[in-house]
Amino acid sequence: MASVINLLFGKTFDLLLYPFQSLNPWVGMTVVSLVAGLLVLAIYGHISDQEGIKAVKDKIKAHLLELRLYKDNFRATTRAQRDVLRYNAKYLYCNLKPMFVMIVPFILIIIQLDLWFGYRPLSPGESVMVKVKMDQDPTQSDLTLQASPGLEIETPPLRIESEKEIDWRVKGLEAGVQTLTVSVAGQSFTKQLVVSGKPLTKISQARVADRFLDRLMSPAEPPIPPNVPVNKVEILYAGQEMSLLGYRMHWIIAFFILSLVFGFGLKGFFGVEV
Amino acid sequence: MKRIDRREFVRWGVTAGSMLAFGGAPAALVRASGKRETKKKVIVLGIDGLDPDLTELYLSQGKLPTFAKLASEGGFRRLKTSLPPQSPVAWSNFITGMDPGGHGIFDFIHRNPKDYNPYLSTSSVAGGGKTIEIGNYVIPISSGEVKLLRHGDAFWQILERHDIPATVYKIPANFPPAPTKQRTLSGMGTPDLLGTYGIFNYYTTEHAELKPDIGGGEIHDVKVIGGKVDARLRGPGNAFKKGNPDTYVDFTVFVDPVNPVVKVRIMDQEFILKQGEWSGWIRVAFPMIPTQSVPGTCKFYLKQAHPHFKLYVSAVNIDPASPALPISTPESYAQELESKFGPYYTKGLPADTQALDHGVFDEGDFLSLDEDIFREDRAILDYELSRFDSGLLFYYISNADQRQHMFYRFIDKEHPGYDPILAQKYGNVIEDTYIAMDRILAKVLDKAGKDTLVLVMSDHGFTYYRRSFNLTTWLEENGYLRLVNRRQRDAAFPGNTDWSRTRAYTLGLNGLYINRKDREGKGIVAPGAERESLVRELAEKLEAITDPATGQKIISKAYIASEAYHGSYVDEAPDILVGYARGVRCSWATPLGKAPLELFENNMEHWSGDHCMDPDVTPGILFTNGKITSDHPSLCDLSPTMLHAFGIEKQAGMVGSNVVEFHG
Repeated sequence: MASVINLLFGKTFDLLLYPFQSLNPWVGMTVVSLVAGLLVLAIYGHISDQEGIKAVKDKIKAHLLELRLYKDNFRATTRAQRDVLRYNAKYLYCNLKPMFVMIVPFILIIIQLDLWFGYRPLSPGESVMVKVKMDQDPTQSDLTLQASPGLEIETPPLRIESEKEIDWRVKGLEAGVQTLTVSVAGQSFTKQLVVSGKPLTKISQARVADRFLDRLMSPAEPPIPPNVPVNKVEILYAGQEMSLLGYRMHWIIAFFILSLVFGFGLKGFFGVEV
Repeated sequence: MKRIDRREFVRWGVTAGSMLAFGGAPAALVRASGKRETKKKVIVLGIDGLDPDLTELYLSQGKLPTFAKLASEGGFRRLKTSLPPQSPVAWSNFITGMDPGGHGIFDFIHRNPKDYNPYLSTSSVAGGGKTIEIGNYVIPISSGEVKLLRHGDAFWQILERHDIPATVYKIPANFPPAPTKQRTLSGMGTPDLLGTYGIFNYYTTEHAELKPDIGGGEIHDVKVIGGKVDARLRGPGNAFKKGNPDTYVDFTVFVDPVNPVVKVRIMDQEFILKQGEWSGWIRVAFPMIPTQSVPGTCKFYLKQAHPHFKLYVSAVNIDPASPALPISTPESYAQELESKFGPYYTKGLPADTQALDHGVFDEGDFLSLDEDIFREDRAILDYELSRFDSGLLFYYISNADQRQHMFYRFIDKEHPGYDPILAQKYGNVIEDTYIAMDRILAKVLDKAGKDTLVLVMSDHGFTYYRRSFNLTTWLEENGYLRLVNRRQRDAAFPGNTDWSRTRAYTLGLNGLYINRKDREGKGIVAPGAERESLVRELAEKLEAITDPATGQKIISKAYIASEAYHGSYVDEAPDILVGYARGVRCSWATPLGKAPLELFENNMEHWSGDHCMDPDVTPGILFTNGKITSDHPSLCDLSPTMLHAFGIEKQAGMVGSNVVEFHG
C-alpha cells in the first residue's frame, strides 16, 4: 500500500518539478503552489456545502452591518456580536468536512515537497553524519559501511549501545548521487547520498525498514530488505531555506502563502465559495 | 592580552548578562560607510606584536621577500610604541593620534580612585536601570549600557565627517564600537558571552591533574557512564531572574567503547569528533524566560576519548548573526560577514593562551586553534580586499602576538622554561608565523594599486620574559604600602591594603599610583610638593633596583606621567609608568595588587614572550610604500598620516604628525 502511494505521489512530483530543476527554487515552488491551490479549490468546491457556506457568510456580513448601523444601541450591538460569533462557529463547522478530507493528501504533498525543498545537498568537501539505527546492540554487530569513490568515510564507527545506533561522518568528494553500502549479517543494501546538484534537487534523507508509516514518511528510496537488523539509515543533511530579497523562510511557509494566494485569487474564476 | 582571573573579573561588576537581556545591541544604522570615491586609497595591515629585531633577522635571512620589497620601494622603520607598551594603550594611540593623556587608556586595568576597585580599562557594562520585581522574576524598565571608555575621535570617525569610506576589521580597544556609519568590527577587548575575556570549559575524567579553579577556564569533573557523558555549558547570568542565576545548556557526549571517536548532542545539533579534532561553530542559546534566550557560538575539541575522556569547549562567543552585545557598526556588518562566512570568532583575541598555560592544551592544540583563527581571518581579508575600491581598509591580525607570547621560550635558550626537546618541534613557530605574515602582505600588495598607500604596522614588538618582579611586595618592603593582614599576601585587592598608611600602590602591568588626597577616596599624600617629592623619590629608587640573580637593573626607566603625557586625562593616569628592562616584567600577582613574599621569581610559565617593559625595549614596526619622513615615527603619528593621505589636517589634541609622503 505504502509503495503504491509513494509511487503515485513520487512520480507526480518528479514530473511536475523535473522541468524546473535548473531554475531558481522559487519557480518550482510557485508552480507546485499553483497546482496545490487549484487542487484544493477543486476538492473544496466538490465536497463542501457551498450553499451553506454562502448563507453563513451572508449572515456574518448582515450582522457586521447591524453592528455599524446600530452602534448607539447597546442591546442591538451585543446581540449582533453574539450572532457574528455564532455564525463564525458555524462557518468553521462547514469547513470541517473538507478540511478532514484534504488533510491526508496535503500531508502526502508536504512529505514529497520536503524531499525537494527541505534539504541541501552536500557541497564537495563538506561532511555529513550518517546514522544507522538498528534492532540490536550495535557493539555486538558486524555491520560495516562502505562508500563509493566519490565519498570518504572520515571516522571509525561510533557505536552507541543505549541508542542502538552506529554513526559515521562522511565527506563528499565528487558531485553526483553517491552510494553508501551497508553490510550486515551477510546482506547488503545501499543508501544514496547527494553531493552537489541543481538548484532544485530531490534528496532522500532516510532509507527505512518496510513499515507503513515509516515508508510514507521516507518515500524516495525502496525499503531496507527484510531480515536485516537495521531500521533506518539516515543522512543528516543541512536544512535549506527559501530566500527572498534577503529574507529567509522555511519552504513550508512559502508554500502555504503561495497556495493561499493562488486559492483565494482563483476562487472567483472557478466559482468556488470559500 | 593578560590573564584575568574569572572570579575577580566577575567581581569587578561586568554584568554583561544584564545587557544581553535588557538592552542588546543598538539598532541597525542605515548607511554602511562614507560614499565619496577617493582617488587615493589607504590599506593598513595591523599585525599585533610584529617585532623589529626578529623582522630584521628574518629579512637578513631572505625569509620575508614581500617585506623586503616593500622596504626597498618605500621604507621600514622601528615604530615608537606607547607608554606603557600594552595593546589597549598602543592601539588607542594609533586610533586617536593621542597619547594616553589624551585618550585616557593607561593600562589593561584601571581602578576607581574612590574605592580602588579595579576594572578593565577600555569598556564598561552596566546592567539594566530600573526594574520591577514580580515573584522570582525581574522585569527591566530601562536598558543597560555598554560603554567605550576610550576618549577622542577615531580616525575612521574623522574620515566619515569627510565622507570617506572606511572598513575597520577587528581593531583592538574599540568595544563597543565607537559610533559611526563606517564598517567596523570590534577586536581585542570584545568579551565572550559571559562578559569576560574568555572562559573556556574543560570536561575531563582526569580532573585531578588540574587545579579546579584556574583563571580563564572552568574544569568539570565528568564520568563516562554507559558510553555517555552528560554535561552542561554555562551561559550568562539570567537578568530576568532575581539574583542573576547562571543559565545553562545541557549536552550529551556519546563515546565509542573502543574507537577514539565521540558524538556530541547539544540542543538540536549532533556532530562527530575524532580524537584531536575541532568541531565547526556550534550555535547555542541560553534560556532566560520562555520567549527570550541569548544566542552564542562555540567550538568543541576532543582532546582525548580513551583512556581518559577530555573535551575542551571554547569560550562562548557572541553570535555575529544576532549579537547580544554591540560588536559592529552598522550592526548589519557583523551579520553580513556571518551570512557570507558563517559564524566567526567575535571574542577579542580568541587564541586560548590560558588553556595552554594551565596544561589543558599542549602546544599542538594551541596551534591548531590559532591556525583556525588565522584561516578565518585570511578568508575575510580576501573578501574585504576583493571589494575594496575606495577610502581606507584597516585589517588586524593577532597571530604573531599570541604565538610570540606562548612560544618565545623555544627561541630563547636562556629562558627558565626552555625545553630543548619541545624547542626542536616548536622552535620554528615564530619564524613560520613571520613568513605567514609575509604572505598576507603579498595578498595586500597584489590588491593595492599605484594609488594605494600601504602601511604595515605593529603596536609593539616582543622580547623574552624571564624574570618577574613583585612591585607591590617592593612597595611594602620599602614602607610605601601597608597590608592589613601581612599573612594574607594573596588577598584580593583592595581589601587587604591599609589605605590610611599607604602612600603608593600598584595596579595593572606598569602603573604605580600615589595615594593622593585630591584623587583617591582614602588618599593620604597631599598634592603639590609632597606628591612631587614622593614621585621623584620612587622613580629614583625604582631605577636603582637590581636583580640579585643577574646583578642587572630591572627597571630601565620610571616615567613620570605628568612629564610624559599630554591631554585632558593626565591626572587620571598612574603617577609613574614603570619601564621594565629587557626580559623583566611585573609578576602575574602585581596587576591585581597582590604582594607575594618573594620579590623576584623566575618566569616558568608558557607565557614566555612579552612587551610590557620599557617602550624602548619593544618598539613596533612600520613598513610602507611611501617615503618615511621621520627617523623616529611613533604610533601617534599614524592617525595624522592616514588623514594626510586624504588631504585632511590632523585634529586638535593629536600629538603625532604625518610621517609618510606618498604621491601615488
